[in-house]
Order: sequence, then C-alpha cells, then structure tokens
Amino acid sequence: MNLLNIFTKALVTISFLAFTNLHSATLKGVVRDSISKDILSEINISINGTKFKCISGLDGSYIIKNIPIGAYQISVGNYEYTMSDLNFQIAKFDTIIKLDFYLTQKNTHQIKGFKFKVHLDRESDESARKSEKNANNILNIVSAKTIQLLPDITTASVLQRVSGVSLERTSTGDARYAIIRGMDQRYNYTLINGIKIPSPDNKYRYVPMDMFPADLLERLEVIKALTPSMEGDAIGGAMNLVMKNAPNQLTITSNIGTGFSQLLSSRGYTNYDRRVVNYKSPSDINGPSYIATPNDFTYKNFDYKTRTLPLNGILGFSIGNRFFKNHNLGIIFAGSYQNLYRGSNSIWFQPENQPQPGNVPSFNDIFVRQYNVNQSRLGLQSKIDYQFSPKHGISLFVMDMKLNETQYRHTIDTSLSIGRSGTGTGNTYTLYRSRMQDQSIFNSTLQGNHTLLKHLKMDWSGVYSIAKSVTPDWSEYQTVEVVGYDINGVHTSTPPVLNIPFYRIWTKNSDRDLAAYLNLNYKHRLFGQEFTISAGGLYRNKARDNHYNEWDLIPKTSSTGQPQIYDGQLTPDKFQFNGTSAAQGNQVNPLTYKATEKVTAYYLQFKIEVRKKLDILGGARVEKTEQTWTTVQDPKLVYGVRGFIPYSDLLPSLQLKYKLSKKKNLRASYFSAINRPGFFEYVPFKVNDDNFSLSGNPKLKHTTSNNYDIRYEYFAKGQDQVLIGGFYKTIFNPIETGVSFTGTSSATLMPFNFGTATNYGIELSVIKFFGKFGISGNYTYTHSRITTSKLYYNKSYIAEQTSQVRPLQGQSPHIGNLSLLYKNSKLGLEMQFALVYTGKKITYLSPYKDLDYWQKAMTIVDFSIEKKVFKHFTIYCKANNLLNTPVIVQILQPNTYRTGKFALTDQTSDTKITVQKDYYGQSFTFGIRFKI
Amino acid sequence: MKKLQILVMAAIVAIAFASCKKEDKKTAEISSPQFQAGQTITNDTLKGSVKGTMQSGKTYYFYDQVTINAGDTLVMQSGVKLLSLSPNAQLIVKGSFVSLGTKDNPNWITGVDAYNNPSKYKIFSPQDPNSDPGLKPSGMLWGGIQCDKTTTLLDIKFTHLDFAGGTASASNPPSGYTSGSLLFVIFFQNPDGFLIFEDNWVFGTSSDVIRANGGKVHIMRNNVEKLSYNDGDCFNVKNSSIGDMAFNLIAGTAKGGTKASNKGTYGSVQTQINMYNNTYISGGYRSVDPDRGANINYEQGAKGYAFNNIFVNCKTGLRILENPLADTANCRYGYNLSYGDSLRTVNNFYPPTHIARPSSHDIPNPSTFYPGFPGSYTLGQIYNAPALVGQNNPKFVNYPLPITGVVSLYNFIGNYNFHLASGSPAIGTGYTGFTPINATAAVTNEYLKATVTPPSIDLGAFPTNGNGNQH
Repeated sequence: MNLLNIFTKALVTISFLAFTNLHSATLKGVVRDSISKDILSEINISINGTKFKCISGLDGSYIIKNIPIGAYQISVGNYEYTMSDLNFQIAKFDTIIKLDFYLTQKNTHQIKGFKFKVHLDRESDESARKSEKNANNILNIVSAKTIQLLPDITTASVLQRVSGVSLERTSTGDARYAIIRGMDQRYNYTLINGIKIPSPDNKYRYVPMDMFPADLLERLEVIKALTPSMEGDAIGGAMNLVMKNAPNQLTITSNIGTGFSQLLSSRGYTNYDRRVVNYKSPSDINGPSYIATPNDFTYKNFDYKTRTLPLNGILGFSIGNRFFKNHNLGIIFAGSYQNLYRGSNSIWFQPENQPQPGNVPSFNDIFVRQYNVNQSRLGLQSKIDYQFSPKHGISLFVMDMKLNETQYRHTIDTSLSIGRSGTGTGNTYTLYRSRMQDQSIFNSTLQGNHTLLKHLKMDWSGVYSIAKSVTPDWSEYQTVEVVGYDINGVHTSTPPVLNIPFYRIWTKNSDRDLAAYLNLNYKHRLFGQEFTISAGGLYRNKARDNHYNEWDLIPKTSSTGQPQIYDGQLTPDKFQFNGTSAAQGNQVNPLTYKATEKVTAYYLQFKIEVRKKLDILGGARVEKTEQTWTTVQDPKLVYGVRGFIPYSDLLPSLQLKYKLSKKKNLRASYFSAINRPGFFEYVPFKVNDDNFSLSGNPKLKHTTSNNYDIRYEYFAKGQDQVLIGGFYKTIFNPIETGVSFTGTSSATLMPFNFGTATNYGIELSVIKFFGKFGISGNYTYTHSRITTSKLYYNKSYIAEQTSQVRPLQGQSPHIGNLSLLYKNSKLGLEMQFALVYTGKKITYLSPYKDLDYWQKAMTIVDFSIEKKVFKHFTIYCKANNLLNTPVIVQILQPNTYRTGKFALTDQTSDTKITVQKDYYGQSFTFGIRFKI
Repeated sequence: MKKLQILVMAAIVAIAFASCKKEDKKTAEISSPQFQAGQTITNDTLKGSVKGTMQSGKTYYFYDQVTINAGDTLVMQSGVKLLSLSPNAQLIVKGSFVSLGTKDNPNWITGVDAYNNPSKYKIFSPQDPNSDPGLKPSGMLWGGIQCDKTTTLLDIKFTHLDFAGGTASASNPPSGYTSGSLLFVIFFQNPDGFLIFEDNWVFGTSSDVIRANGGKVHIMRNNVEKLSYNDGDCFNVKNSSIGDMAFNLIAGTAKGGTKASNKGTYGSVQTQINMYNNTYISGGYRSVDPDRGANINYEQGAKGYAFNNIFVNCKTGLRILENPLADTANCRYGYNLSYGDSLRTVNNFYPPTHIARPSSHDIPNPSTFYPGFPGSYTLGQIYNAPALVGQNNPKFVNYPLPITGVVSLYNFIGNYNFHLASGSPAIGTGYTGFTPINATAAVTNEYLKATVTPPSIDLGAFPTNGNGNQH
C-alpha cells in the first residue's frame, strides 16, 4: 500500500428511516478510522454552503437536525483526519438519515523511498487507549490531553487519578510519592522516557513526583507488570514519564496562569527572604576543622514578613517542529515554571514513644502549627532527533527539573508533660522554623536506533543524570514560658526565655548516574507466526554523596546562673557553643556518608504471536548489584564504616495476551521483581535516641517477590474502556523498621527483613462517554499482610517482645477515583469534576503493638473547566480541594483523652484517638492557554 | 543474510549465558575495626588499648582516647593519678574499669594543670558561670568515661573526677554519640552490667555525671558540685536501671539531681531506684526550661523510695511525673526536709505541676501551709506560704543559711560542712523501715564489692552516727 498518497475512503451506509411525526430531516451517525475502525471525536462535519455543521462527540457520534429538502455536499475531517467530500440528497421531510463516515489519517509520509511514519498525536486520549490495548504488559496511560483538563498541575497529583495509585502528601497537602497497589514508594521507580532517574532524597531511591510540572508530559504511564527488558526493582510498579516529542508541524504552545490559596487569603502568608541564607555552611567556607562562633550565622532568616494575598504564577511554553524536506530533524523545547504559595494549619498531639503501662497511648505535647511554603518549580526539557537514513536515527534528550521550597513554620507547643497543672497550663514553647530546600534532577540521554539487518534492529542509550538536594541553614529557634495559675486562680506566665536547641543545619546530597543501555530486536516469521527475540542489557554506575552538618547554638546563662529573659531580639551575643566539636558542626554523624551502586543487567526476551490471537512474551533478566557505603567514622575503630554488598538475581517474566476479539483482551502475567535496600539502611552508625538506639543494618538482604496478574480489557468505541484485573504478590524479606532485641533488656530500632508478606487485590477501571458527557472511574481493593516484631508495654511496666500482623505501611484497602466530564467541542467547553477517595492507611509505624498511626479515609474533590475563546486560545480554571478535606490521623485505641487533665481537643470518637488534623484549604488557578 | 542474522542472535545468546556462568562469587564485606590487643601498662602514658594495673601512688597521663577492650580490665590502685594532657583524653570502656582509691589515698582523674593548680580552677565563691572553669562550656579538661554495651563492670571508689565532659570528638565519637553532642562524665549502657560509684568527688561537668541507659547501679556517698552549664542532671538513669542513690551531696546542678525513668525499657526489669539520705544544694537554676530542675525525679514508669533527703534552696521540689506517669503505686516518699530562702522556692516544695503527694512526715509539715491538709487537700493544689521562707534551717555545721547573696550561685561545696549541728531538725526524724536494693550484690570480690549504707534515722548525707558520706 502506498502511504504517500493521502488516501481517502468512505464507506457510506445510508439508511432511510421514516418517522412521520417529524417535520425536517436529521442527519446522524458515527465517525470512525477507516483502518482501525476506532471512534473519532472532534471531527468537523459541515454541509457546504450552509450553516449546518457540527463536531463529532467523544463517542464519535454526530447529529445535524432540521435540514431542508435539497442536494448537498458534505465535508468531513480535521487537521489529522480527512475524507473526500460526499454528495447526498434529502428528498423528503421527517426522515432521519443515518450516515457513518470512515476517515483516513493524514500523517503518513514516504521519504526518499523509505517509509517514515510520523506518530499520530501521542498526546491524545485515543492514542493512550490504543497503547494500553496494544501493550505487551499491563499498564495504565494518562494522555497529555487528559492531563490538561485535570485539575492537577504536578505529575504527582496526576498520578492519584490512575487506577491502583494513591499518594503520600507533604505538610502542605501536596501529593509527592506514589503508592502503587498498596506498595509504598520504595517499591516503585521512576523513568523518564524509559530511562531510570536518580533521586534527590538523602536516604532512598524514590523520586518526589511533584518535581515534574504536568504540562511537560506527552503521557504518563504506570506499568504494573515488568517484562525482561525492564529494570526489575519495581514490585509495585514503574512510572514512566514520557516527555513531549517534536510534533509533525510547527507547534507553539504557551500557558500563563495565576491563582491563590484560600487558606492563605484568609490568614495571610508569612515567610522570610530566602536570599539572606548562605548556601555555604561555616565549614564549607572555612574547612571542617573551623571552630564557628555565633557570629558566623545570619539571623535575618527569622525576619518574617506577612503578605495578605500572595498570587501564584504559572508559565508554560513549548515550541517544536520538524525540519528539512523529509522531516529528518525534529526539535522540541519546552519549559514550565510554577511559583506557588501554599499553606496549612495543623494540630498534632505528639505521642510519647513509650506508651503507658497496659500499652495505652500517652501524649507529651500539643503542637499547633502553621505552615507557609513558597514552591518554585522550573522544568526545562529539549529533545532533538535526527534520522540519518531509513535505518539510522539518533536523538538527544536533556531535562532539568528544579523544585525550590521556602518554608516558615510557626509552632506553639504546649507541653502535656512539663509544667502541666490542668487545661490551659504547662510549659509553652513557641518555635520558629526557617527551612529551604532546593532539589533538582538533571538527565541527558543520547539514543540511537539502527536497523542493522533486515530483521535486526538495535537501539542504545548513553545516560548521564544527577539529582541533588540542598537544605542550607535549616534552622529553628524557640522560646519557652510556663503558663499556670496563681493561688487566686489568676492566669500567670513566666517571662519567655530562649530554649535549647537552636539548630542550624546544612545538608546536601547528590546522586549521579552514568548508564548505558543496549537492546537488540530480531523480528521474523516462523511457521507463519511472527516472533521477536530481544536481548540487551544495561550498566549503571551510581555515586551518592551525603553531607550533614549541624551547629547547635546554646543560649547563654546570665551572670547569676539563670536563664536570660528573651527581649525579642535574636542576636549572636545571646548564644555560644557547648564545645569545640559542637562548634565544628557535628562532623561525624550517620547522615554524612557516601554510597555507590553498580548494576549490571542483561536479558533475553521473546515474543510470539500465535495465530494472531495469543501474544506470548517471556524471558528472563539477570541483575547483578553491588552496593557500597562509607561513613565518616574511623574504620580502624568502628565496625561497619565500609561495606560492600553484592547480590545477583534471575528475574523471569511471562506475559500472555489473548485477543478475545478486536476490542477485548485477556491478559495474564507473571514476573519476578526485587527491592534494593535504601542506601542509608545499611549504614550501621548507632545513635541513642531518648527511647531506643537507632541504627542501620548491614546484614539486610534485598527483597524479592513473585507477582501474578490477570486483566480483562474491553476497549469499546472511542475512549470507552473497561479494565478488570487482579494481582497477587508474595514478597520475600521485605524491609521494615523493627525492634531488635539484644541481650535481656536493650532494644534497638533498625531496618530488618521480616519473613514473607503478601499483597493482593483487584482493580476496576471504566471510562464511558455518552455524547458530550463522560464518566471515568476506577476502584482498587488491596489486601496486604506483614508480620513484624513489636513491643508490648504491659501493666507491670515491662516491655515484652511480641509481633504484629498488619497491612503494609501506606496501603489503603480501598482507593478510588470518579470523574465526571463534559466536553462540548462545538462550544469549545470542557469541564471535569474529579473525586479521589483514599481509604484508611498506616502512616507511621510505632515500635509498640497496636499503636500505629492510621490516616483516616478521605475524599478530595477537585474541579476544572476550560473554554476556547478565540481560534488559538483557551481559558481555564482549576479548583482544588473544594471540600477543604482535612487529613486526620488516628491511633485506633480506646480514647481516654476526651475529658480530664490531659484531654485533647478535636476528639470525636471513643474508640479512636485523633493525633493529627491538617487543613490545607481550597486553591484556585486561572489561566489562558495558547496553541498553534 | 539470514545466516548472518541467526549468527548474530546466537552470539548474543551465547554472550548472555556465558556471562551468567562466569558469575564470580563475590561476597559481602563489612569493615571491622582492627583489633588491637590491650597492652599491659608499662610506662606512664596511656594510649591505644590498655589493660592491667596502674600502680599505687603513681601518676599516669593520657591525651587521647584510651580503650579498654571487651573482656579486658584496667585497674587503678589507690593513690593513682591519671592526668589529662588534652581535652581529647577519654576513657572508652568496653570491658571493665576499676578505680580503687581509698579515703586516705584517693585517686584522681583530671587535667594536669587543674591538679597542679587547683585554685585556678576550683572557685569556691559565687562566680558568673560564664567565667567559671567548672561550668563554662570550654572549661572541661577530659572527655569522661564512656562505656559501651559490652561493659560488664565500672567500679569507681574514692576517686576525684574533675572537669570531665566537653563535646563528643569530631573524629571518633564514642558509641551512642554523634560528634558535637555533650559528653556525660560517665555513660553506661549495659542493662546487665554493674556500676559501682561510691565515695567519689566530682567537680565541674558539661552534662550529666552519670547517664545510664540500663544497669545495676550503686551510687553512694559521693560529693558532686558545679554540674553542667545549663543542660545536665546529676545522676540520671533510664530503661531497666535498678539500684540505690544514697548519701550523696549534690550542689549546683543545672537541672535535676537524681532522676529515674523507665523510658525505653525492654525485658524483665523495671527501673527501680531508691534515693535516700541525699543532700541537695541550690539545684536547678541554670535550666532554661522553666519547669525542670527538680532535685528528685521519678519519671515515666519508674519506681522506688525517696526518704530522708534534705533539699536546700533547690528550684523545684520532689517531682513525681504525671505524664508520662511514674509508677506512682510503687513510689514511696516522705521524711524529707525542704528549706528555702525565697518565696518562689518555698512555693515549689510541692510543685503544683506535678503529683508529689505531701507527706505529714515531711519537714515542714504540709498541714502548716496547706489549709485543710490532709482532709481537703487535692493533688497539685497551689499554695502560698511566705511564712516558710528561711524556716526549718537544717543547721549544717558550716553553711551560711540563710543565703544573703544570689542563691543560684551557691553551686559549690567547697569548704562548707554539711554535717548536722546539734539541734538540727534533720536529726532523728528519718525513716528506716526499708532496705536498700543493693543491685550490685553479685559483685562479691572484697576489693570490688559495693559498701551499702542502709537508711539513716538522721536526714541528709551526713547522719550523726558517721556512717554516711565520708567526705
């Protein structure tokens, strides 16, 4: 078939149905792709020379009413699809003419004798559904088009819309880490265009997903079953961020917006000027042996200024085109900038780590907190691809993502333990925290595609990535006073004094990857069946470097040996250091360490299509890992300063896809996956906490797993789909923090391997459109069980060793999404109500039995609307958290804190104790988008 | 062509499997410290790992961390001086450390200059803490005795431990510390180990004199003065510690005096400490936290008996913590004498923020200032008792009560004599109906074993029968 020709074909079915009650003719039908027979939406249908026209709906349907008798020519098509004009005649009134159109895609070119197929719009929903259907393995895809309409502006918040995914949130309510099928962030990895990226986290591999502005994505894939060609450390799943590719013709998009937080508009926004902060610590400037003085630090980072209504700023831009006669060269450049002001009001009842006898929870402090956060996100990316010849192409992708946060946290901490004689009394601490964190991820990937022989293709990638995080001069000072009553019942308070500690912390860490990938694909036919054999591998060399320095300023005592009353002026003369090594900034600590990781992996994979019905993809992957660490302690004196841990895994995978029909698939899959210990989890540096010693565990084993999936897929017309799946995972040696029992009466908290955990569940996802209306929903049930060691503090004041069965941390039994959509192409109007439900889950693990913290089930409702205003412009509005849903965290124990001297506020239940309640308020974004 | 393709694929497969096979079995390697066998003491400077005996009457020096390996013992015979040449000097005890000073021939661990010129260092008059060598943060001369979880015995008798503390080393912080954190004079962390600390003198610290995260302790008849700039207690024991703290004279703590908590406990032992016949002088003032600084503290889940103590001008009285709750059912106390020179002090003999229940055997008798005591008394009841200021003077042989200067600067013992003069209300008003815990009874060697002094009928550390504190 010669694809150079813009090939048009129309299969016309005309049927005349007589309805005598009608007074004019109606033309209706469905628009489809001539080859795939897929539903096509947003196709213009117009009757030439008349005002009669319409646009096909999301289910491909169209309808034109009240057409007078006559002969007409009708045009059907859009920028992407075309069909030659068609003549038809209406001979009488009161008829409905059913006319279906079959259109052909425009964008297929032939260049210099080779077939060079430009992708159809990969940012569209249709393309996303098609990819899901045709994929080798089980995945979910969110298209750029869907993202654009979602109320979300970061990739993390988009992820929460995906079936089986829930999110961990920050202190200001922003989604950050994805939990996939109940497996928290440590079990998942993040890819950019299929390449794994490093993390700015100082202990773990997982990537904060709110670093990526959503408008840079072409699509977001959540991959739930691994093939041998994929890296094997995703027991939960892998998130692949496919970034924008060069479009077929000159495309320019831009986006400008603003917005505000309801909470900040009502209470004001207070913060400090981040420019006063020195990125270099005293020891960065003067060397590690430098003995600092209080004069080495700024105090201007505590000059807070309040603004009444800070406005957010959003800017997005992309330009892309393909050049030269044959479109050999494609270039795209895209940037996104978000400057957001966020806030939250939080109340937290700090539990005492060790419960009361009988294992009854007890509480030390009430923290009333206000967060003020400025987030500035800048994402830049560019991709250049060049096709030398039909057989050889090369591309260079470069990405730089930055997230800078500036946080002022104000805390009023009322002690329930010290100075408490009843409600409204006690030691009262006021804390002022100034903290900024700059995180970045840079990735550059050079890729080549080569057809070596007729049936043999090769692709390779060379990758350099670096992720960084710095928190310069993270500091907090505090004052304390005792509030009480005198003998006459009059409220009294002592004058405030500066309290210990006043910390100044500098941290920085980096994670650098050098990686090379090579894949070979041999595709041929055997006994009339198409098959592919693939082989390949990767080598990655990772180097991590963590630094932590802390200077604790100590308030000076008065000349009479008593604390000085604080006059409200924070000046260096009020402070000193405890000693030389304190003034050197705590140089030896567990968080200053280096780690490396070398991964060598190779795989062999085959794919056979049996009688066009059954796709079998299988094979195995070998991953060899070598992890090392080095702390700053003296290896001659201390155990475990250096460590080297090698291990190797054979990871088989088998993916079956049985095509029940053109629209229906039945999938079954098995894969084996691993989870590597976090870099810091090995580090055996032991420190004493108030209650326990804390330590890493160099004897940790890595986690392995067996994962089984089945899924039924029904891709109905257009974007409609039904996915029903189930999964079952057995996880060996999962790593959780537990209590180590050494000797007869000493306990250490450290990460351990805890036997075998199981995790299974079902997933259901439905998308259905009714003309202009659509409904999209998904629901996931997850059930996981793990047994870990715990303590039970009995009534005889003895902590007994015990164990507990519980779900995995972060796993909710029920999660769901429901979106109601309205898309009126004629008016250029789209609307969406989006609801996310997250069931209860464990957010913090207590060392004591039954005292874990559970986040209460919550529902968040968001809304967005957009409307085309001129030819190339769209205005939009996004409203988040319409119900101002609080995050509520509870201990599921009988509540003895509703009354009495130590009563806690905000208690609503006799069977659960609320320990935290955070409000974020609504937030609103308005903007205008431009696209040619 | 086809053959070539098959060949290439075959090659790939071969390479893949070849590399599978040549799997060189690398094994995990975790660095271990180089073991240095403890060297028997041969010359006068201790360094590295040591063991053996420091000969009676001799003077030894150290300037860096000196380690006693697990299983090894280092003994100081009587009259031995171990003098530090640098603030980095420190004893790291993984085995056993024994210092056997005697009343007539005590041992010393201190800075060399402080030993030779004590008057430069030991100020026995009211002094600004910012310029007091015993308190100022830069004043410490050696890094204390830091025990590991393997320490089986720490046995210190008639030994001067002066100016110990500072902050943990920037090159090799002891087990349990990060560099820069305040060093305790003695850190003990083996719940199964024995800590015998009797008849010693401690002068000037950075933080706690003894911090025990577990242990069987015996802390008796010690004199301690000038403790911590603003963040330290005197004897502070936590998870699963049991034993006695008795006949100690404790002057000028930044925060608390004797303290017991069951925090972080695990196993079959609940923290149980008897605190009796101690004398507490001018404690708690330098604490920045306004409600801390009590002389006796029973905290979270701890139990024990606190009788026959004398509290003089301490910021806060006996403190039984309500939240997290001490084991109040098994905390027994009373027969304690409180004296204060200010209204603030006397109004905190029973701090209303805590749940120490006044005893009618206390001096002063609570019925003299709590209207309606005991009938209508409620726990934590606020009172105002200006009449108590300067009342019930314990009549020490030589101590200037009432204090006319700044009470908070009377943080030293110096040449004062805290024996009881005749006519003292502390004579004969004690309670002897309980027995010491004697947690180190398993140490029976006649040189090493603890000498337990049972409770005395006289209050304080210096009963008139002479059986108490020997200093």
